[in-house]
Amino acid sequence: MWPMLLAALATACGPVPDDNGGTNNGGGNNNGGGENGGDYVAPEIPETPVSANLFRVDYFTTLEAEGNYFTMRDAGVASQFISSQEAPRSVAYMFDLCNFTVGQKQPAVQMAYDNKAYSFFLQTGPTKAQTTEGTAMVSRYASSSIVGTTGADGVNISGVTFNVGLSKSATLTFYSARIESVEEVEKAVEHFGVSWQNDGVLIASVLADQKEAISSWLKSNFMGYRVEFAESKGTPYDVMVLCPAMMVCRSIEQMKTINLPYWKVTMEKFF
Amino acid sequence: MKRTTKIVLTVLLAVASLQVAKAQESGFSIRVMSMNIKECGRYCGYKSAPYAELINQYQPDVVCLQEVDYRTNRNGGRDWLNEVALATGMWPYFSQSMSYQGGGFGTALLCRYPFWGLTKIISNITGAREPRSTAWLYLTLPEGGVVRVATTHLALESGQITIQHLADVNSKMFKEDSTTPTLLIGDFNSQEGSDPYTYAGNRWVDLGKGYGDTYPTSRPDITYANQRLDYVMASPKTGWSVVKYEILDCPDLSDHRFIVADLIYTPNN
Repeated sequence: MWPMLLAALATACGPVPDDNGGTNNGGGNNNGGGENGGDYVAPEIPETPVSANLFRVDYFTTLEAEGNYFTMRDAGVASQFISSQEAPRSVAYMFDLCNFTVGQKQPAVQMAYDNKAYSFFLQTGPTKAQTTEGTAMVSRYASSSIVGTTGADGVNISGVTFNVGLSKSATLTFYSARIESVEEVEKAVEHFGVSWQNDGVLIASVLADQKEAISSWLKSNFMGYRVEFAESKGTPYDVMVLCPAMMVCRSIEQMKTINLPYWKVTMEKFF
Repeated sequence: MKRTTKIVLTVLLAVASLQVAKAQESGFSIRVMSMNIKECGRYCGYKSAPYAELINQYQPDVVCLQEVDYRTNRNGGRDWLNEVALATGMWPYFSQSMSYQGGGFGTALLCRYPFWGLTKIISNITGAREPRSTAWLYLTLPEGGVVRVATTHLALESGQITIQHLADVNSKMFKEDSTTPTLLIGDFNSQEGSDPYTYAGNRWVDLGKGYGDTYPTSRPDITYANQRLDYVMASPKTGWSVVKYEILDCPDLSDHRFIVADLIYTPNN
């Protein structure tokens, strides 16, 4: 593993203190950008994290445009990575472009089997007769809820909800997507805007040249959120983390285990 | 703030409902299986392979399972569902009803395609000897059409308790969504013509009527009279056509017969 520089490029927020020194959703307009036409800025975050409220997601991705993550990589390495991880363990391991092919052994199911864990599939493309694009997820947490879209409007996003033990029990929903345009973000916010202002965390691969436009659109049209991007040189996609203002993405570190590239996303929830 | 959130939520739900309604405009065909696997394979040494072979033979889109163990003492600590999922290439969901013998016990779903929505509920019915889970998934089929498929195993202590259990399931399913075509599949622990069966008819249409009994299999050690306990129920009550409805007698795998059903849903039929 070779931790690299935290590459968080942009946040949607200049600091705006709230009266309680904590965070809030910035007033009454939940979905419409800043009031009086101004851009939304998220509340300031505490400088020092509360370690009991930190949680981590490992996002395995090549950030390439296509190709199955495990075509040239051994899922056994990922499985070994999960089993060898010591506390504090990640809440979830997400595998971008770990596509679902009908009738074939699914790597994430094998990883779940190997690690006494649970597997989930977050569909990011339309259902196909053979291979459907998506992000596989492995977690030691069981889930009673998966929320998603039918794909009828061209947007395929889904998320898995877990009750995670932090300093208090927290309900968190982890979404995944591959985002190629601002229009997709607009539609996604229609579906999941409320969740992304409350309990939802979107970890997505986003087309690199769309980051600025997405940031700008969010500032003007959405509230109660934070967004961060991590840049990967030489790939068409970058990593995007969108979460409620009541959370913060503390770091996004580029990592590698054997030949599996991944991003270690460390977040904090405020209570 | 709360009021605004509620308004936004209402608007979003309305938008989502419209989108689901739009997706429903196209009909679909689907093959489903129902399998109560008797204490997770007690009759075949708790092996998963015979069940996987059977599923592979029929290639269903969704399998609704009951009496599934997760790493229990009696099944030797095996992860039965993931074994079957790996052998069939389907995506699993284990819906644990309760902790049992060092592991878990409950219902489960296997899906041939990815599913983008899922809800698990646990019903604790007064007078029932154990909690029971029901889980449902949403999938968009490759040819279009959105369907919700649920697996359940209703309480059996009395007809009234079974009705209460089904009422709980109905309430939670239809509160969540009353428009998407839905299949409720599994072991209802109720014979055709019983009070729970009649109650089920208020919200569901029985797609397997006339296709034969499901209990018991032809095991010589079971002497109960033949009866129907396992069902494929559908909502709405119209629009469904049964292309094929097969009852499988697999005495080495369960005391319940399995169901394989090929169904077509045509909206506004």
